Amino acid sequence: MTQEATLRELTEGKYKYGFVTEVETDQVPKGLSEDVIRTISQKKGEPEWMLDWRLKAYRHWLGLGMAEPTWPNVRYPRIDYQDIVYYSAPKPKAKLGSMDEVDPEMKMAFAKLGIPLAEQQRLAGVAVDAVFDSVSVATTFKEKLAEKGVVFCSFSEAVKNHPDLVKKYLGSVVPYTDNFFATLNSAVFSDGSFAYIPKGVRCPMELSTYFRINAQDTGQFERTLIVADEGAYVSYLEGCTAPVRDTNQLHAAVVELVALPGAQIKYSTVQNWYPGDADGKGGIYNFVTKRGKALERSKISWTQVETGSAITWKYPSCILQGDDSVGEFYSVALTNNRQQADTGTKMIHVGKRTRSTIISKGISAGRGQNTYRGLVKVLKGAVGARNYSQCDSLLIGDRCGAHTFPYIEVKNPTAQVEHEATTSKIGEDQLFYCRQRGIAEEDAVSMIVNGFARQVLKELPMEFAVEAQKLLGMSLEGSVG
Amino acid sequence: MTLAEQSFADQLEKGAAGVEWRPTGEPSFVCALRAAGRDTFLRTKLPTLKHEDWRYTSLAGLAAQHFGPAARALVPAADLPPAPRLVFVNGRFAPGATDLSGLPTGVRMGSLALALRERPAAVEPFMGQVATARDHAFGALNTGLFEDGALVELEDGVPCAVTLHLVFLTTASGALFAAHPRNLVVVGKGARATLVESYRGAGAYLVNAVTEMALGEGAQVEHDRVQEDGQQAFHLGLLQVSQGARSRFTGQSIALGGQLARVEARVLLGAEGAACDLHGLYVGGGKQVLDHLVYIDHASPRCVSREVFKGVLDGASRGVFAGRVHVREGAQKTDASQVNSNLLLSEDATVDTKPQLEILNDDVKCSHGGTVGQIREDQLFYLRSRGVSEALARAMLTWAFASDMVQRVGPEELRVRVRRAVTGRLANGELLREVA
Repeated sequence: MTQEATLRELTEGKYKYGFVTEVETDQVPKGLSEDVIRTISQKKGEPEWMLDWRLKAYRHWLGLGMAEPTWPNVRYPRIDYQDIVYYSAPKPKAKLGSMDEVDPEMKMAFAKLGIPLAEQQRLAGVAVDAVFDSVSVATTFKEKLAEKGVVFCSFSEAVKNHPDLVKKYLGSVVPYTDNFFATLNSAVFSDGSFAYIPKGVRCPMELSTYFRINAQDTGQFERTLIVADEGAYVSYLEGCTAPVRDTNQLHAAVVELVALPGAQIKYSTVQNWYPGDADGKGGIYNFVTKRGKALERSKISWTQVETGSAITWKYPSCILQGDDSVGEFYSVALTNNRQQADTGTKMIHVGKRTRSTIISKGISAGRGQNTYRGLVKVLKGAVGARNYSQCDSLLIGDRCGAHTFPYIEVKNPTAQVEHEATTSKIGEDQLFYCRQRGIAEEDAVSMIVNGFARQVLKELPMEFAVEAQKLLGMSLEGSVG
Repeated sequence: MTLAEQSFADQLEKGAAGVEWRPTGEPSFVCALRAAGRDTFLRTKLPTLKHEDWRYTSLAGLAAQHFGPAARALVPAADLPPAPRLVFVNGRFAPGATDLSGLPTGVRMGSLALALRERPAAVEPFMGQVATARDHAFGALNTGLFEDGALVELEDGVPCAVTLHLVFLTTASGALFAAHPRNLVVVGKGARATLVESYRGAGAYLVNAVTEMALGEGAQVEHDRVQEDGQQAFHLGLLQVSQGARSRFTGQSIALGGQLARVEARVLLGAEGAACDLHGLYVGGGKQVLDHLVYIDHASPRCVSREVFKGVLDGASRGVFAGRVHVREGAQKTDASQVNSNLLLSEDATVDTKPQLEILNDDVKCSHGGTVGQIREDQLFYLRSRGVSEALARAMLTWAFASDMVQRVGPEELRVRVRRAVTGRLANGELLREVA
């Protein structure tokens, strides 16, 4: 097979997770108003303070005058925010006690995705809080976590059972006034995950949530809050797939991480939502605000593998507030067909001797547009701050684009900041080298791209690394091993 | 409208009515350009921090001033570079100080305003055709208000061995004023030239210079731009270069003066095989803001671009660098690299840099890098352990960082001058006399 043919075959692969699960859903009418927010809040049985917070956010959002940010390097038709259903929950079958009670169709859906809950329970040691259209349907390993005092539950449960923690930390990293999409999320967030790791506890297992977007025209507004108390450690995994859709779906999630002194949070994402078809029809619009606040000697590490969505707008950031805190960002973003990604990170160095590392690998194929946009900001007090950034882009085909927009702002002379970036196509000499040694074309492409993304993939937890490679393979087999 | 905008708007309106200061008898194409410039400026006004190209450089200090038209002035005492040279004072041609002896055949140099009166046909195909940055407030302001500038023309195939000097002197007098020199350089096919633009002055004023440069097929130009304006001055420079096939442009920008100095270099690699090599050095102290914006438009296949910009920042000065390499669809085999390095010497000095790549193509080799740091302790220790005083060691290391940019300045006498100017601005630079 010629190289061209191989690339075409590999880049034009059909989205393999496309299916719609028909589950009766309990929806509120389309559109956004105070009434809709009150309804969402009421359906979830939320206390007054939660509703007030939502309404504050909603009023602020109205004040923004529907003006989405225009600076990202992405193009899409205007979103009609009144044409979206802001809440949909699978019709509940009372409370679910065990796996047997889970809707069989839903179980099928998970099975197709390769996440059989039952098996996951036995194997892996991964506690799965499966979010299926906004409401958690099954949570596993809860008791085991409870032993250690770890709280891991859906956001709604946390509001009910741990209101003090939620009140204290909700909006402390991403305030409801933060940006257009975060404000929208604050007003209408449906559900999400909450984790609290008490002082000095090393979380005994990887925490994980599978998000799925299901009911048609339902925007998903996840809200995740993870708090690691002093000296605690947690590794959190987030993975996503979504079924084929014709209408664009909006996703505006917010993730907040709080690492108290000496704590460590490792947050890994594999994102493989429906990217739209080869002509750019359909696909998820993914506008995510992710940010962590790191206090003294703590560490926040973001790892992401972004292969899905028609549009990705996402900048997992670290506010390195405490002295000696560490921020890391490892990313592989792949755009194919007409996908557009504008992603990167922000490292805000506030504390002394704060360190950050940014490794970003962008892969563009087809007519994909891939943008790295990052900010490294060293404030005046950040004595001895250190940053190293590396952003590499790989181009496959002559109709795609790779863009790099780093911003470096340094206000302290003792800081050392380095940024480097390269852009190139798959090396013909490398391909030739492999072919010469009897390695098949597609294996060679696979090896080269695998090598290109290796620095990031090795940061993923074991369980995830395998899946990440599989998901990358689905989008661009042979490009990223 | 701010005070500055108001004062410029007044002048632009007056200009439209053909009032005294405007050179009379201008050809219609210039009138059309001026009208377009006026309309653009009145629409865009001065850029604010919200403008992506200006997010790190505040024009608030400039905007709060009232700028009158440039005052007439005598040629100040200054050591002028050797002939052939064109001298302008406050944006006006100074024939007395100009010396065109030794100008080789096939090379013409003179006042642009004069050429517009006497032989507009030579200017029309180029003027306003190279400086095409859209909605560029200062470019538009210059087009609306320029009085004069240099016109340099090289015929096809002329290998001009002598260095051509353009000198822009500005002397402050009484009320604050703005000068808007406008230059046009047309280099014919296969011609070669070395061109120096020097900006010097004392006191507070605004210089808003635009230089358009068109390089024909296979032309080779070395361009040195040395900015030593007064420490209270505002300097805005726009250099636009359009390159023909296989042409080669080498540019150095040395920025030393001004309370706010911004140089934009915009290069269009518009035909196959063109190459450009841009270097810059900014040395800031006090409360200076020294800003460079470099935009390279790779519009054709097989073009090469290189950028190396370095900053040395002391006191409470600010360095800003924005580089953008834009590889268009179809510009296959592009080879681009971009580096911006900065040395921060004091607590209050700051740097903002954004080296950007925008690539719409796969067969490219592009890279960029940016660094910000201070003098390395181990290097300092090395020198100290060999008995070098701390002051000298710091000066040596700072000079070592900056000197390769100075070495790139082509003409010998200019290099000596720049070296003296740069070391003169470094802390304890006088200690370097033996070393540098």
